[in-house]
Amino acid sequence: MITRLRAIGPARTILIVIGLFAVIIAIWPGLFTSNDPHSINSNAILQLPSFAHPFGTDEAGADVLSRILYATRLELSIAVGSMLIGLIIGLPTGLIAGYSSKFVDAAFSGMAAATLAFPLILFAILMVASLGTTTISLVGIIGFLFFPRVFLLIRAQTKSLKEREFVEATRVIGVSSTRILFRHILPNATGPLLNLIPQMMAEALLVEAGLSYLGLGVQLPAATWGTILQNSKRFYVTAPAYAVIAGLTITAAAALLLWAGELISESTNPLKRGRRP
Amino acid sequence: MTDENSLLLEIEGLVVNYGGPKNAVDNINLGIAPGETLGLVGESGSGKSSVARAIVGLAPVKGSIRFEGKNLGDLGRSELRSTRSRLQMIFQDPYSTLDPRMRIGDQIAEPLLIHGIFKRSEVRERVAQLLERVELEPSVGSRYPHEFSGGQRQRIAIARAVGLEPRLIICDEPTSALDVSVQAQILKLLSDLQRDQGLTYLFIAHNLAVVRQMCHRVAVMYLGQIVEIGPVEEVFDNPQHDYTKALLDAVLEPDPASRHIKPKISLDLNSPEEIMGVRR
Amino acid sequence: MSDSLLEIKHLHVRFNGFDVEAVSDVNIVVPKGKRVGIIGESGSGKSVTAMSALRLNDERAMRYGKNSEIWFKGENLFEAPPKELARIRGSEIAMIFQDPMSTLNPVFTVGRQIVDVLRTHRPQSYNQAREHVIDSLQSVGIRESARIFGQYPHQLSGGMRQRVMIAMAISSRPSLLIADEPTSALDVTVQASVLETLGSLADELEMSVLMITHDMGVVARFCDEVYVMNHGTVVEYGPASDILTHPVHSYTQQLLASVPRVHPTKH
Repeated sequence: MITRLRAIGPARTILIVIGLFAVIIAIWPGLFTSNDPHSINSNAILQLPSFAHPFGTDEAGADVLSRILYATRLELSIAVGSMLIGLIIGLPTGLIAGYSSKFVDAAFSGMAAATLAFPLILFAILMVASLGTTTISLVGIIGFLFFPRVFLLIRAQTKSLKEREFVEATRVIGVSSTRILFRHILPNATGPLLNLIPQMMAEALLVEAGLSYLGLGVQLPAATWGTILQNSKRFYVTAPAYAVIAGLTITAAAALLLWAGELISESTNPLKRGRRP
Repeated sequence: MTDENSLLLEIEGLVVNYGGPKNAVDNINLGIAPGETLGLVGESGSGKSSVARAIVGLAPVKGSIRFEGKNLGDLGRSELRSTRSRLQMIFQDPYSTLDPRMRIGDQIAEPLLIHGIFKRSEVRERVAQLLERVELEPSVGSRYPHEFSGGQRQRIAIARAVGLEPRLIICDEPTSALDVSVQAQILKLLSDLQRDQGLTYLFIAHNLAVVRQMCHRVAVMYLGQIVEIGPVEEVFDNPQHDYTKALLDAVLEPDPASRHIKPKISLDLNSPEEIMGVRR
Repeated sequence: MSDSLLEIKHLHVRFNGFDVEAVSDVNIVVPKGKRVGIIGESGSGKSVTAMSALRLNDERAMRYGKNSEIWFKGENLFEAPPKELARIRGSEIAMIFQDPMSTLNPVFTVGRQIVDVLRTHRPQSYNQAREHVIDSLQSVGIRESARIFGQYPHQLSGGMRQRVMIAMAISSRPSLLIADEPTSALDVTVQASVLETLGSLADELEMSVLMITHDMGVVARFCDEVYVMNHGTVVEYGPASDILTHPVHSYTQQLLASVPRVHPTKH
């Protein structure tokens, strides 16, 4: 067990542990705090961090730490959900666009380009106007942001893989295009996704914070780190610790995700030695 | 070769053009009899690889390609597919000819499964047989390509091609990327397979010595055309065309006497007119 | 010996993390004005040996033997300071590689690249250098040298690029040229022609050549002497004509036996 951990390396081990913690917090936040995130205690509003409240209290007297912990579940759901939407739409369209005729490719690429060109905030407002300020809106909005990126990446990979000798070999054998796409190209195209996924999740956190700041995020009593940050903005002169802590949480989580992404891309791209005679 | 129906592959007026002003293959005619090995030699731009790609359907063609007496251009989709299964190809670069993410056993099995020759439950045994035939351990089927050397990967590619029991195999520079000693083994494997299974080969190479060893007849290509064709001993020992003569002169033989040979032409320094009009 | 230009003595190379040495007690002498070949298959250590002569191996990833020495014109290159090595590289000892596409900079014209190299070792005005470079492009067989001067690497064929590399290498009149499989990726006629060019340049400039190859035909056409390497050691050495006709070591015999011939001869 210890040797396996050594092989993975200290950096990766730390990240894996943090990741596991995050998942556990999301599922059972109550394990880590006994405070009620929804409590209203007018005697203890906007207090500085202390033993009882390591992150201080907010404007309703609730413990900030427990609010953050309980919000983890929603935060993670948004990050994962939007990433999944990006993948579900972007992967198949990228594959098809990269492999098919110029006409089909142009159609899909045009769609992706139009999506990229459409202003995110405007789309967000439209979504919220139709579906309300719910988690689903948020996931949809951010997923909309992501899918062109997945599409472009997978399309580029597919286009280059299409010309590789092993794909030509399968065509000579008589393998159908569909099977080539899903059995040969897809497994080889998804490598760079391992790097893109943590990046997208990090970005999801930041975008969600921005949208909540604008008031397009979820409403109370549901809370995300973004909405906590938004609540704190009124008090950042009188109780700066509140805003700083909320902001740091988001930043730290995004940074950890990006770091994880970098480590993954390093380990999946070992430097190859030359093989010429 | 007087009886037309005895030719396994017959090419007439083949033109391959990738969209530019010049044809990559410029109106050639070729015939291969069952059981023979026809060599196709040439340097860059000769069109030899394009001929191979045209035959297996990887390049746009004009002209007629008749295989087993049937014109490939006339066949419907499913008949074309099953006819093509008897016409296979081995590629040049053993390092990119296999899917890096698929076990080699699955890659050898794939052609057998998709053409319906074997069911999933029976194919394993056949794959083991094929691996043995190319002198690899039957148990290596569960491994991935990167675990093998270049020579071994080429053996796997051969096993994959031979599994369908094709009648004609196009070998596109199958040993160019391999060490000399490994090359000798692979060439021997190809010869043995030809003898045991009655295979016919179209052998494409730039290495004239390998062509001499492997082929019965040889066609020399330059700028998309066949400039000379005939039995390999005749063409190499008594070349008629100027380009063939210059090509043979340029061959680097492991013979001390070659120290004093001065080459007459070079593809990169001489114009096509100069090359076609080389004087002795 | 005063007539030897380069002497590699007891060269050992071990890459980090490997049990076996890549190069094991290799001794090679390149006499003045001679063409010496090192022949071997992949993994024989021939390229590592060649790179060691100019200390081009990544010295963070490997270690040389304690008593390994590389003597060049009275200096042990393993003890030479970086400035001295930089001076020697390119002007006294030049090197050309197999794939000119990766050694030429794609965003500059080939003429400009050679001019830059020339002016680094022999400071002179741009126009002077340009004249010299156009001449040297001629000397490597390129007839339209002024036009080729202004071309980019991707506009040239493999053979032309390799000639450009040779022109670049000889621009400062080095005493030794190390060529690592310079013709392996070229067409048949181009290969012969480039070797011919290299040979006549070597004679004309009184330059020694250390030729690394896997092809016995190249040895026959080009080399005066040859070292045969296998698994990191030299298994046989001698004049090229001797090795080709009467190989002594079983590996050399096996190597020669497995090479197919265009004109099979009787032995």
